[in-house]
Amino acid sequence: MKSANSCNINSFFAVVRQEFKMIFTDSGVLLILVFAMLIYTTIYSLAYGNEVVRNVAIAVVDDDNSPTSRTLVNGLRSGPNTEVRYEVSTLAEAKSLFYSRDVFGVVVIPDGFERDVFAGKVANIATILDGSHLLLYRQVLEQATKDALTNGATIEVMRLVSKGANDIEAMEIAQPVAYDGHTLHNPSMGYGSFVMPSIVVVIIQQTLLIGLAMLGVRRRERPMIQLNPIMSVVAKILVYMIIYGINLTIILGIVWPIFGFPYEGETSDVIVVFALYIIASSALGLSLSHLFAKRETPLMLLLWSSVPILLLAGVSYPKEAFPGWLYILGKIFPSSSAVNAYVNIGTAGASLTDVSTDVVILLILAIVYTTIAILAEKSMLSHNIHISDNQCV
Amino acid sequence: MSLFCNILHSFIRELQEVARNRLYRAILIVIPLVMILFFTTMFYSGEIVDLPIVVVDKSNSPMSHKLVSMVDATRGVKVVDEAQSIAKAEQLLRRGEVLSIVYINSDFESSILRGEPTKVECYLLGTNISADGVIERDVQQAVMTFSAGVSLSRLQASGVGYDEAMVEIMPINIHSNIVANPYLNYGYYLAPLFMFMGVVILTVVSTVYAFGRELRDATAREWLATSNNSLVAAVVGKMLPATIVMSVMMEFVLFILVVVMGMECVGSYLFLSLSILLFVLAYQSVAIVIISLAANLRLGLSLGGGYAVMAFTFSGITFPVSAMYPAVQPLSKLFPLSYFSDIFIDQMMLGVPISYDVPKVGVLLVFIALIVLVWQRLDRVVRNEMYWRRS
Repeated sequence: MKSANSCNINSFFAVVRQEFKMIFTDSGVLLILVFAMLIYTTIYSLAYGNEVVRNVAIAVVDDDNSPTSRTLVNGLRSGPNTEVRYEVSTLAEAKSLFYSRDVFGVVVIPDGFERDVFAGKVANIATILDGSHLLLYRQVLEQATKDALTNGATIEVMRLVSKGANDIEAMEIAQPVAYDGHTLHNPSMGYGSFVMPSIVVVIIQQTLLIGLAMLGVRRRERPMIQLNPIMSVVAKILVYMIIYGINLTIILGIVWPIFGFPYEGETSDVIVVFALYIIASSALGLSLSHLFAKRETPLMLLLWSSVPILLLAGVSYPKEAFPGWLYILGKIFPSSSAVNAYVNIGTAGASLTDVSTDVVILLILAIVYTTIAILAEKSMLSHNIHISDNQCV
Repeated sequence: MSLFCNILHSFIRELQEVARNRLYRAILIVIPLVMILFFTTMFYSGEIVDLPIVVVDKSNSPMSHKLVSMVDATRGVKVVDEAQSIAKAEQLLRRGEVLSIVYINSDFESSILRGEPTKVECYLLGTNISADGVIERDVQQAVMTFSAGVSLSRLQASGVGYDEAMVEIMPINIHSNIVANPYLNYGYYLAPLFMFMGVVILTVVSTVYAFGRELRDATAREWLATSNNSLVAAVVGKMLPATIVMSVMMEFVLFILVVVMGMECVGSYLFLSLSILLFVLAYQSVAIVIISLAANLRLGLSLGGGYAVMAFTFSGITFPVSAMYPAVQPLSKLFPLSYFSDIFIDQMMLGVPISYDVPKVGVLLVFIALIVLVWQRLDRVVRNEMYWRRS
């Protein structure tokens, strides 16, 4: 009994060693399972690291050219959201700059602007905004609205004061109820801080699915150490947890601070979520790995699915904007729950109990996919007649 | 004429492979259609509506109730809960049941009645900037409208006429002309570019596969023989199935955008349609460069796949190139998608005169010409057994 046990443990570690060896002696698998995550995370961080869209180039057509209109232009010039790159005299010139993407918005101050202001009429300005890129659009509109409102409020206060009201009364009439916005996390509303946590989570699953399928093809081409299916699957998952654990430590410990991405919440909670997630996705990867006949197939069939899978999580694109059945269907991928759980813990500082629904789903997926992986391993063993390598026999 | 026959033979050989090879058929037909169907379903409504928020109404007065119903009435936001305390509201926020808290303080109404300034606080989570943007816009709009209403009634009560009062409230009016995507539909903004991205990945993968397969299976000699050993004819015939299929898929994407999603083409549809062919060829050419240099199917697929996926980030679809670190910005020039997405937005959404886009078409031609750089290497790789059977 005792000897059988120790033998089992020996072959358990033999499988662990064998799995490491298979990964580290195959450049293709090594690239996908070990390096892809670090490479992609670094490249995406470089692209999105600058976070906030500032100084969007705009053109101004100031037909009024009065002290009042200059005040408005100076407001747009000093930003921070916009930068007046060109001041042109005709709308046609401004349009040409817009078409050639030298500017992303145009503000037109028509002749008679100041006259209307002093005559107590509504003074108009016009903007041309590019709705084809919503981030750029928002920055230009926000700046133009803010400057127009500031100017408007100043004008109004001036008028009311001239009518005999005192400053405080005037301010109160101008704006009796103010909007006061606060952002609890990611206060600069940075794009990188918003999208990078989801991307990292999805990369883990996708590289596991592709990498394990590639390994699976190789496994069938050569004799493997035989071990009971449960132990064999557990041994393999342990290997992937070690590799991804190290990668995640590097990413969250080094890459994150460099780019200033948020990391709140308890590390122990983060570990629980990622542990369940890596078990669920590697078990899914092991289950699917039996379906692929050739080494190139997994990459060809799965590469395109990364963006759809990212969207299905309903975080980078809000789940309220697409059909509910699609969102629920998306829950079969461990990434959907893991993205939600990790973003809430990592960015918003939630605790494990706050994200208990996602954790429970991850747990169920981990159990179901591990069971399938074990059954698949078992049926493969029964097809395989080479038991000669078993050290225990 | 014989060149034409040689191309035809290589083309037919490739078609036979498509008919025989399930993986090839999946990549060329099944997956593109599934992908297009997916993104169409995903972005069909294209509008972010009824984002859940919670209100903490400490005032609990007729005026605060009016404000809450004004916030609830906006398209983007829905008040799903009213919490008694900020702590309770925060709990809902952390659980992800709501995306934002609107807080109205206890002397909200009394301040307004006393004629003192007051404020409405809105707490955004910050984890989802597209949803947060919609919530901020709508709550702010509701508060401003409410505030203007208070000003208006107060000015009218003190004997100021309506028109005059309106001028007091809004001395400067902004006319926004949104030239592209006037309804700011997220679907119009994201769906096309996601679908092009999908076609790009499949174009690169299928082209690398078409060439790499001959090397892995050591059948390159037979392939060349069908074209009388003319490499030009063999290459053109081999590219052709993917060129045709992926161009048709791209045209199908345009068709879906216009017919199903109701997008209006304000520029030249013809110009856009014609540039599709050059766009597909540009990516095929880069794919051939990659497989020639890799001379190995699997390495070629990894490199080609990585290159294709990167275009998504560096074409500035999601995050504008002009906002990236200056050192990173030039990378965007390395991807045909950057130029094609500009052409698409110009012609489909902005109605930019064609003359502005001719240079971009020129760049696509440069990408196609890249194949010349690796021609000798390709010639060596397909004729020399040393490069075969590697995987």
